[in-house]
Amino acid sequence: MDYFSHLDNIFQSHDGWKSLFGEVPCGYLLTDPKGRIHTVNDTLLDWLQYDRNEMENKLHFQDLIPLGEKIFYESRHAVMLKLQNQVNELNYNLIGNDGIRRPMLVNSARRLNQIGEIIGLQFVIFSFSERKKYEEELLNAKKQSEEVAAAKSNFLSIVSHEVRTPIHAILNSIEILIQDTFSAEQNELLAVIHHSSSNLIDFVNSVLNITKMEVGNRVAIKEPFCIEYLLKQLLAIYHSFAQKKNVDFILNIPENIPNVVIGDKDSIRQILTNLIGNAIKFTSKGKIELNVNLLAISEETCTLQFVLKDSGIGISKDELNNIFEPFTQANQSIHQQFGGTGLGLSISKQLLHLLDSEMKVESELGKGSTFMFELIMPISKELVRNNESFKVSVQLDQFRHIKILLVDDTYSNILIIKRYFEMWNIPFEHVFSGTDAIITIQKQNFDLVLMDINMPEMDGYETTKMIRSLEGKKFQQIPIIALSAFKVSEIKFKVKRSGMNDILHKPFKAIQLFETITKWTPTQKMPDETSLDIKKELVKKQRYDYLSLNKICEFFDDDPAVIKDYLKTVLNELKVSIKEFTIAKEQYSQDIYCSVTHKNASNISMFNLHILKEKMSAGEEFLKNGQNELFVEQCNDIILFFQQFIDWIQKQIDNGVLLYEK
Amino acid sequence: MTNILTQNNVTIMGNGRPIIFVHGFGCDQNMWRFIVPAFEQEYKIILLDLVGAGDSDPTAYNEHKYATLHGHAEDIVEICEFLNLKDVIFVGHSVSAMIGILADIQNPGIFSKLVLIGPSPCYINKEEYFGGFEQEDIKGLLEMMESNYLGWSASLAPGIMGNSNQPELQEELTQSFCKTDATIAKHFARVTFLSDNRKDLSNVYGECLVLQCREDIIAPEAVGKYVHQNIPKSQYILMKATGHCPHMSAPKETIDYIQSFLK
Repeated sequence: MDYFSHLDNIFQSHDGWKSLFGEVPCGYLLTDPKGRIHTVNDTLLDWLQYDRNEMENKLHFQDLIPLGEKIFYESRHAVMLKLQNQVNELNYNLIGNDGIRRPMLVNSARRLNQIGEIIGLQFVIFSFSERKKYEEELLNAKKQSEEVAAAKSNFLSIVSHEVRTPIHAILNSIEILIQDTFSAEQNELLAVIHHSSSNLIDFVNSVLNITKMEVGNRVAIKEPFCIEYLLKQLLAIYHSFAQKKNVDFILNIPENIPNVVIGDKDSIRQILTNLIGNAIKFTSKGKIELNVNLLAISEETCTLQFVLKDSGIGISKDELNNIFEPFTQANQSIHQQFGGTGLGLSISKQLLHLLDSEMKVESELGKGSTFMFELIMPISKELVRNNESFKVSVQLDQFRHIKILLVDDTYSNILIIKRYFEMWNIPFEHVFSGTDAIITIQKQNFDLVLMDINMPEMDGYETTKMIRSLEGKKFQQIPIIALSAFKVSEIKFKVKRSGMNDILHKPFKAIQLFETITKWTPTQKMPDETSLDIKKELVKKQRYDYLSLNKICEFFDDDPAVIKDYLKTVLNELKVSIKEFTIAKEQYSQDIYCSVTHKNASNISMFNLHILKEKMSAGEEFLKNGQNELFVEQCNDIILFFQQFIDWIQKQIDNGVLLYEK
Repeated sequence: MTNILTQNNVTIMGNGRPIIFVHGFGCDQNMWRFIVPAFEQEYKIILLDLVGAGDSDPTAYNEHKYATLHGHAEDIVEICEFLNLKDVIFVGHSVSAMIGILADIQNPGIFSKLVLIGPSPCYINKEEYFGGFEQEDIKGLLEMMESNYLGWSASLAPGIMGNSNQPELQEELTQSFCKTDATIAKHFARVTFLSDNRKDLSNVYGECLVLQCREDIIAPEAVGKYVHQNIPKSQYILMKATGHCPHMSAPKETIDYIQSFLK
């Protein structure tokens, strides 16, 4: 008997196909283009506990999935199907007639006719509840362990953050106190408080640093900086510490070291600070040498080797293995004898890891230690402005004409800011809450608001929104500055959207508070009888205060070369503009005037030149109203402004001062 | 140097009055391929991928900036300013209809006309407001997205599912459309579907056209009407098209309505 021919018959018969279609261990759905079910196989009916007549011609594929997943189907799955004809391996929870959700893996394809029109959709469905359960459990376990680790780090980070605020208050208070005269004994006590709180803040910062790195928050920053300046700064700070212990601190830098390199300045400073601090701590005689070697240099990059060698107590071979573990010092007696947290080297190691480098150490007990690391850094062609220390010198009555509203609920902050206001003779009012701020600002006139972000009940964002929505132009115009200890990058968008103008990051130095106030408040008006020269001088000063590269730097991504090019273009445009303003002035030409003001619209927005904008519209008004004398005066004023603006830009280009402090 | 154009993978074609198309949740500028040809002759077309979608710069994604839809609105404004566009027509699908509205409010006058396809100011049901979803539904979406994007199942899939006939082709296809990073997609989904911009509608400055589909579960008819009633200058059209993406399922009808609105 020829079994095969019988088998052929079965296979090709309707029955054969039907049993295959019905019994394969996967679900099958054929729907019209909108998802309405045309055919379903037995397997899927069985899984979902439906009768055939309950599904075919009645339900849509979408009816089988939960509401939330329909969003995914409509906005992503269906779209991708249309674009690429098939989408495979998507997870859905199909809901059965019994209401139970079953995890399924779905393959889908569009069925087209001969001329490429869509006639239907086909879904092949795999049940994988078991596997899905394992996956979920695994995923949950993974999530849980990650969460626990993150929670620990976070807790540490929050606690450190909280501790930092009061310590800063202590430090700031001491700095204010020191300016007064005390007896020698009192001064000594003050010095002790100052020194102790500085130590405490260093410790807390270290803890913060290490938790930040564990949470993975820290990324290497790439910014141009002067390496020699950084090293010399360190020498200046630590030389005196070393000398107090009768130890020499020597810095050797090769002459051909690149001027400006691109790298993570703060990390490098921190690594070197940790190493130098240790070296001084553990060395009681002899010298500490920081040698910087230029291992390789090309046009684009350089390889620098940093070697810090001391003649201190050294580390034994056994102890060498442990020194990079956090909270571990080489041995217990070190803590007793020298103090410290044992975090410094661990942080340095992690920082170097972040910078794609590693620390090497050679040491012999009793003979000293040598720590080394290498860094490959791109060389920058731009010059960088180094932060020179800025002494706050306030002229008497410089701020007499303004009034500031301080909104803050933390006493220590208020005390410090108040103290500065008193020192600088700034009239101010202080309120403890957002609600009081809104009442007070409507009763009195203020020139500036300092607004704490974190306040109970109504926070700084809410308060600002309320102030901005008050009736009256002045409430929209008054500058509001956010005071916050949060990272600027985290809150700057929210601050901007709530209607605040700037952020003063806590803890701030006196100079930062001073600069913020100067930036956002009008300069004092001079009495009329003042001679013109002085007046001009003052006007000039006032205008310079408004000029800023911030927006441009942000816009051009801090790319110095591009910014420079842009500034040169602006420079040429401005020179042309001066000529055109002169012609407009001489001919009283509205066309020329309007065209040149229009041309400068983007400059106004890029440099935040709101005064210029006002001046230009005033001029236009004068011209329209036929007030020609006033118009000419206004043009002269604008031309003067442009000349100063040109000077300023030229200065930025010449000095290469193209970096702004964020 | 990265600028706003590379950040948002901006594509520009044609000449004339500028028209900017912004895709919704789940896809990228590829969505507009059936619509764009009809406008190429008369308009300057600007296509873009929202940061986090398609070929936008993934490093530009900043959780804080994009914690609300305003972050994307700021990008749109910046693109218009960078390209110095005037008298712009904005066409936004789904969540991008709201993004367009926020950009319009932020910079009144930036758009002369706005076409809002399947807009919803708030997807979650609130007191006396029907958005279509409960918080729980969105949670379900996020969980489902997680399993899909994490690729747990997908990476195990060939074992259970067998390979597709043309694995190479498949690979290329899944990579070229609607690319998105798992973490970003989830964050964007959360921001999108949990946002509530109902209060903003009354502040819209430009003239709007609301294109509403039938049987749209993401933006039901009641929501489209709500948008229309709360925007000062708006027209409302209930299309024949069904689903959430008429620009894909019924491009002709969509084009016709947009063109007659622009006349």
